[in-house]
Amino acid sequence: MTMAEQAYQEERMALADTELYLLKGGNGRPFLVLHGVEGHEGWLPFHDALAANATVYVPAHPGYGGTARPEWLETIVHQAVFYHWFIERAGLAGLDVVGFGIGGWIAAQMAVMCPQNLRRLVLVNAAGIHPQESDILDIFILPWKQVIERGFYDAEACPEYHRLYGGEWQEFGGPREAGRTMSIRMCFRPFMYDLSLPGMLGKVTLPTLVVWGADNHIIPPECGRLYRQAIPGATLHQIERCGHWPHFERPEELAGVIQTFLAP
Amino acid sequence: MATQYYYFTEQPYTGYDPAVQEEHPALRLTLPNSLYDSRLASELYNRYHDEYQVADEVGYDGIMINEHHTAPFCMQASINITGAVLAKITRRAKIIMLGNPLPVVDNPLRLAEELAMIDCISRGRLVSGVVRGGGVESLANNVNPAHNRERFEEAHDLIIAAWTRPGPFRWEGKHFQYRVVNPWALPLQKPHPPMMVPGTASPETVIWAAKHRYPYIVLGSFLEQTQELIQIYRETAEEVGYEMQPENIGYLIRCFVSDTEEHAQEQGKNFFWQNGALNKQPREWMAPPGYATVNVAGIRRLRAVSRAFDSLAYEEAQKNYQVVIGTPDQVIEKLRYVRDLLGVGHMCLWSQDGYMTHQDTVRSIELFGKEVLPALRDA
Repeated sequence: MTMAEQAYQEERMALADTELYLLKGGNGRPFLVLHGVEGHEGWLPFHDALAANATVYVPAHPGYGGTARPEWLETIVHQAVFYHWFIERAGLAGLDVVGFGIGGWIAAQMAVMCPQNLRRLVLVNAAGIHPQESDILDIFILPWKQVIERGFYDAEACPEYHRLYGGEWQEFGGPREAGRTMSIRMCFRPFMYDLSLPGMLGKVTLPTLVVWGADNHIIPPECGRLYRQAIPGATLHQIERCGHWPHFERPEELAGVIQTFLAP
Repeated sequence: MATQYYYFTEQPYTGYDPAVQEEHPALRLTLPNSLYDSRLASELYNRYHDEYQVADEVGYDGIMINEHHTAPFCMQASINITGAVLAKITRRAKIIMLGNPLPVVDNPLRLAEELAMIDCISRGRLVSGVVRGGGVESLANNVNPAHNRERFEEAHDLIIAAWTRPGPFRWEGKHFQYRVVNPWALPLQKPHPPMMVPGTASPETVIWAAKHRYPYIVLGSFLEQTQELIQIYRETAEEVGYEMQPENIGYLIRCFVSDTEEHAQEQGKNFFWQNGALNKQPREWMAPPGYATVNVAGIRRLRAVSRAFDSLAYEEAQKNYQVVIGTPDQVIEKLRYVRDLLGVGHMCLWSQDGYMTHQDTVRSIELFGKEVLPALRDA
């Protein structure tokens, strides 16, 4: 942990009627990491692994605790606009981006919207596409502790599970509740998809890697195949014995796959 | 205004064994409707309507009705359907809707039209209560919980405007938009039917009601907590510039009357017929993230209140006035105590639940009308 504490710094940037909170660490080409449904979980071992050869930006999306939601921001499309705004303001055009779950949906929407700001795209267990053969797990109707546990292939064996969720369970309030609230605001209905997204993704020409946990019980692996089909030239990498959160369960393996894909 | 007395039942669907709660998160929302027998439901609806007629005939000032979705404890999936029935089968009693769950309605203009029709058909007997609905109603109707408060307020403003602003006019709101608001159904009561707001614990709702000068009805919370909520109303009223009166506040209390104490005691147990399962629901159903914008404390308190009732022993529930049961003389004394302690101008009597038979229910209504009501009106 002492390595990690030294490996990054906190930054805040006034932007789009709010103040963007982010962690930044490492050296090299800029790499934007977009978190998922419950929000920012701080600087992770996964970020450390990436920081070996990239400058890693880990922001909290507006509405997810660390960054307040500006009044105008209500949807995934708005989040995508917000991050393009950030890229342009920070002079980071040409960066790589990876998104997890809802963050993956934001990244996909960013690629549709303004690909010239991006170099390469990584979507990890991304929301946004409606599966045909099964359903995305209705996480907004289940007790949240069950959702967290179902997100892992093997929660008990995962050190990140114990570090993040092993303490006293906070049932109400806190930054994770703020995150879930923003996710509900954006993704409640239709639940976690945009029927137009696959059609729009046809215009994406960025090199794209889609990563899926073979045992993802939240967003079915079928959605990974649909993303690969929708984005011309995309490749799909499946991680075995892994659920919805490979950055928690398989941080080294995931970072390795991503670094190989991003290598020039 | 003298205190008004209203008859209430949730119209429970009793054709299943509450013991199935062991296999489900709660007796609502996902409880399989394969347990629903339409023939029994048909009988029950008609039976409950017959009982409303008796309440009307024996002199209750009003009949309180409500609405829940995917909920076997309340068969009223549409409060306006019951309201329309009451408009035609009763003659005197006010139709007290507590209330329409505004946030889960996608077309509030149609709601304004339906309510106006009910007011006209009933010859001006509608009291149009509105509620936010518990979080689980947002799930049942698939309406974003994060928009609950905003939709409640906008739907309310739109309905009042539809009733009071000469049409046609446009409505360009955040959640609702209309090219033409110009309903050809307007309420008989002017400027519009009286409004009411029920609640159990949320100070946010009390404050909203007080600011609009709408009567606030506490739905059976413990007396001490009810007094706290009333105090919030009183203080808000003072801030807004008026003095709270008894007609601004009301209380819902469980009350069953019978000829003998023994029989009343036996029947009163029906108020616990679901063994507390009503409030056995995940936090994510009761208050999905976003449903309670600022009031996490209120949600905690609501659950504490609900659970506290569920865990009460029967005798204890009677001792602290959560349930009032007995012969007319016995309930008169207790109801007077509660009414005068709280200083409420509206008393809603929850007088039927669980497996109470039609015969027992009718007898309770008759005893209340013929013996209890006159005594309460006297003193």
